[in-house]
Amino acid sequence: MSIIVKTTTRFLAALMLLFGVYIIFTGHINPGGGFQGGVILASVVLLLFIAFGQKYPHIPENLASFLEDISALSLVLLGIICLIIGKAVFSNFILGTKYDFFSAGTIPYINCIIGLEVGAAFMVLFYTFFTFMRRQS
Amino acid sequence: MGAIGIVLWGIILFTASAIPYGTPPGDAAIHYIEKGSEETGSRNLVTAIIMDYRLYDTIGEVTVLFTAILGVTLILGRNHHRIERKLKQLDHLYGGNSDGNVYNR
Repeated sequence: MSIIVKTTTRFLAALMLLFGVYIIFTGHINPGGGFQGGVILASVVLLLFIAFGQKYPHIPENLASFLEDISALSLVLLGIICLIIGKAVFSNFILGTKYDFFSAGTIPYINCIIGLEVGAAFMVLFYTFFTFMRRQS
Repeated sequence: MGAIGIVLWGIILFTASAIPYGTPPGDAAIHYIEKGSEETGSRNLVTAIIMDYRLYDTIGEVTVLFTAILGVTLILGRNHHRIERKLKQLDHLYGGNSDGNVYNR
């Protein structure tokens, strides 16, 4: 890509990463949540792909795939932990201080897990599409 | 058989349309609005609903996303060159002409 795109990407990528993490972490306080933040995180990777090529983000595809599997598994494990404690599946079993950053019990953790899952899933998708495109051309 | 099905369908529609359903803020919605931030401790009521009360819905969405990515990776995935090589070997064995293109078969 041209130098304009590369410079803008260098400037924007860190800000977009920060914004995605902010959207995920404050999903229980402000509008936002795991899905939106995860998609923003994945769009950073897409931007780096487009500007610098597939090798640049230094995230191996196996790692993205592994993260996706682990986070999808940990959602199920959270339900099983609820069962072991003795509450209903996916019930909110810890309650912190109200309306604080560490509040709302399991909601922020579920947000983090879903953000990781969605981001990693879209990353795997972009990797697959880019590899497929390169093979077809 | 079809006539019975149509008659049953009509009975169900007629019965469902005869039930009174009440006016908009329903019982569940009233509970969410009044007790939602109390029970979950979340300041954002939408997050309190989709991440706590309706977490099964969110898990279903994540499962749909996971399955979609799984299908894309299976069909367009990175091990496709192995399949191409296999098909090329098969074409060579059985005397077909191979251009190495799996997708136009």
